[in-house]
Parts: sequence; structure tokens; C-alpha cells
Amino acid sequence: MATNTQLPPHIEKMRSRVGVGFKKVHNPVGVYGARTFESLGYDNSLNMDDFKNNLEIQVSFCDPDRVVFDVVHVDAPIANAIRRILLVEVPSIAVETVYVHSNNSIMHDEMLAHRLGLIPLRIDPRSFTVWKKGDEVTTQNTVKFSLKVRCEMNKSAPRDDEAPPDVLYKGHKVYSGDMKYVPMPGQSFAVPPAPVHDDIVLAKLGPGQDIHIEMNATKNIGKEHAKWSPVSTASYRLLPEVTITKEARGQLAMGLKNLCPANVFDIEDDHAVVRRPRDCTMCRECIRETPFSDHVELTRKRDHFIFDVESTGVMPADSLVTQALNVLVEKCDMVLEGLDTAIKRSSGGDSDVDFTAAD
Amino acid sequence: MNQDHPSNPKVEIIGADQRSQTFVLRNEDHTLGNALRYVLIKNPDVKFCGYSIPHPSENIMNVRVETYGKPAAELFKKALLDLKDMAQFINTRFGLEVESYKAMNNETEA
Ligand code: SF4
Repeated sequence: MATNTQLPPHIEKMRSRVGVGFKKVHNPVGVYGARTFESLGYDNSLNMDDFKNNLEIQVSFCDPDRVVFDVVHVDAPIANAIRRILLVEVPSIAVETVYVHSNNSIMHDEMLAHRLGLIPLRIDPRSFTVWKKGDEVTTQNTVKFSLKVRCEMNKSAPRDDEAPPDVLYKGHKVYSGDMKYVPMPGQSFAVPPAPVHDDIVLAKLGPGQDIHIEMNATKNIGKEHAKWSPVSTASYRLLPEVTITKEARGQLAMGLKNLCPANVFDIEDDHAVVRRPRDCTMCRECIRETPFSDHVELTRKRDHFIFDVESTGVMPADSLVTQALNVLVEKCDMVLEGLDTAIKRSSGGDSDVDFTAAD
Repeated sequence: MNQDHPSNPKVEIIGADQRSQTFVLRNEDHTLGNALRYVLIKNPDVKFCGYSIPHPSENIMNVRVETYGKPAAELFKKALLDLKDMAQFINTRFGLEVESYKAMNNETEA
């Protein structure tokens, strides 16, 4: 194909930017066709070497709960695949089977079971296998927990009916921290499995009520049930760009600076300048009315993604991103394998596909 | 989930003409579908590529590939390899960046 030349500025802008108008978003759909700009001498195809040279990743925040990073020169389908995999295809471990021996609290068994399922458990699922209904329960696919609590009158409480139940009763609230890991024979962990938070209220009991539950936690993915999703949120946004198209000075500059709730603008030598475009929320206030709308243009950069991944705490957030990318690699491998068998099958003659027909 | 039956192949190829074929993938969704379509459409040898999930309760996805002459299966395979390569490369780079971020921040704390 033709060697790369620059596209004319107005077309380059359509290709590489998403325009944010007051009432409308311009060019929301990316143009990815390899030959789309062929007649202009512009090669829009994917070249793996270029991809590797151009790719930029910057981590702007990283702790076990949250990672914020920029991925530049990657297109939406790839970024979206990463996001979607984070949400529903990175495995984790959650309570799946609940055996209720006794529950005479006001919370129904099924409601309680549902709440137990949603408790994030700090267990690394990577050494586990997936348990499916009907499978044998082994140390490799299950972690057992038990919950045994009972509420009593607090004998030493003041004789005051107005006192809150926490004072009147012992064990009034049932917390996730009351879930106890029950080791199966031959099962051992460096860090004993436990809920990520031990202060989640599961149920409230009155005096004389008790809950006795045994449960099996298993490994699966968020596609099966949202309780296995390892992230609180995994999202991205495109990098905002705020451009001053016509010089704004004096009163106008001051007005613009004060207008912006995200404090994007600064004033330098009596001119309004864009100082913190990353903070722009695209609230469109600056393009809502004249005279400001004549001076400002809002766009987003189509190939600059700002990812924000928050873990539920089951695993460090950065490790989740790594696992998501590994899942994508596995998916490709699986399809590659399937493709090879499919090609063999059809060339083996047991199908009606005629491979001699081409050309 | 009876559609998961092991006798169902992961990939089936439909179409007599090698240059225009439909790849029927099982247990895949928009995650892989859109990414694959993107990589294929970025290949100048591909004349047309689109994907569809005909019914939400069937776990089937069709990827249609029509080429300017090369066998569609070959380009489909190349797309998968490219996508895999991209994922691996992003992964390595991401790992390095996280490491250097952690190293930097531990330094400033110390
Ligand atoms: S869109 Fe809103 S946040 Fe962004 S620069 Fe304009 S006023 Fe500020």
C-alpha cells in the first residue's frame, strides 16, 4: 500500500478526534478500515511493529484497590475487550453453595444465601479449578466456610427499654467477619482465606435467634453470576482536549476561568490558557453560550484511553489487568486451536466444503 | 448450558469459496468479536469483515470474512495471532510500567 502521508487536517481531525458539540457528539464512530483513506495515500492498516513502537502506557495511580493508567495509540475494540474481560471474565472465588442448618432470623434463607454469595473473599483463584454443579467437591475447587452465631440478652445491659439493640443484646448484628474458614483435609494456604471486609452486616438477630450455616465457595467468572466479578468498576474514558480557537483576554478570559467547574483554564498575560484538560468533565458549560462558545472547542482523543480499575479487594487491581490480558491471549489460543481442527476437518473430506473451488 | 456440549466444535467454517467464508465461533461474544473484526478490517487484504450474534440465547457468533484473493482462513488466523501478540505486548508493557510506578513511589516514601 501507499506509504504514509499526512491526511488533510480536517480529515485527520475526523479520524483521530471525537468532537463534543453542545447538542451533539461528532464522529463518534472510529474509522478503522485499512483502505478507507487509500485514495489519499494514507495507510490505515495495522502494522504490528508500528503498534509496538507507538504504544504508550502510563500508570498514574496504583495501589492494591485501584489502578489508573493511560493506554495511548490503542483503538476502542482492544480497549473495550480489556474492559469487558475485567468485568466478566477474570475468575474469582465466591460462595456458591449454602447449607442452612438453622436460621430463625427475620431474613429469609434465600436472601441470606444471596448476601453471602456477594461477600468478596480474599483467596487467589489461580491455583483453583472451576467447580460445576454435580462435580465432586475437592480441595482443588472448593473453600469451605461456616457461620454460627447466636443472639442473647445482654444481662449486664442497663434496664432501659429505650436502649439500642446493640446494647440490649449480645450478637445482635451478624458480620461477614463471623464467617470462619473451615480447612478441608489436605488444604493449606499461606494466608488463611477470609472475607475482604469483616464489617459487612449480613443480618440482624433478636434475642434467642441463631444462624448456623455451612457454605462452599467456588471459582467461576462474572459471566455466570456478578458475584464472581473481581472488580467494583472497570471503566475507561477518552482523553479530553480543550482548545482555545480564538484568543480570549481580559474580562472574557476571567469569565471563562470562573465558568469552568473543573478549573481547566488559567490566565496568563491576560490570556485564557488551557491548563488542566485532563480534569475536564465535558460538562459543556464553556460551549453553551456566546461569547465563550466562539472561543472554545471540545474534543476527545480517539486513541487515548484513561482506564480506571477498582478491585473488590479479592486481588490487587494491577494483577487483575494482567490476568484480563492473559484471558484475552487464552481466548485467541482457544479459537486458533478450534480453527486448526476446523480446517483439518474440512480438508479431511468429511464436510461439503469444497476447497478446490477457489481461484 | 447444554450448548456447551463437547461434541460442538469451537470453530466451524462455512462457505465453499475459500475467499469468502463465515467462521462460526461458540462461546464467544462481543469481547472477541469486535476485537477480531477490528484487526481483520485493518488488514488491507480483507475486502469485507463483519460479525454478528444472531440470537442472544444461542452462544454462537458468526464472523464473515471476504478477501481480495487470499484464503479467508489464513487471514483469520493471522488476525488471531496479531490480537494475541497485541495482548501479550500490552501485558508486558503494563507490567513494566506498574513496576516502575511502584519502585518510584516506594522511593519517595522512604
Ligand atoms: S466542558 Fe466543562 S469542565 Fe470542560 S472545560 Fe468546558 S466548562 Fe470546563
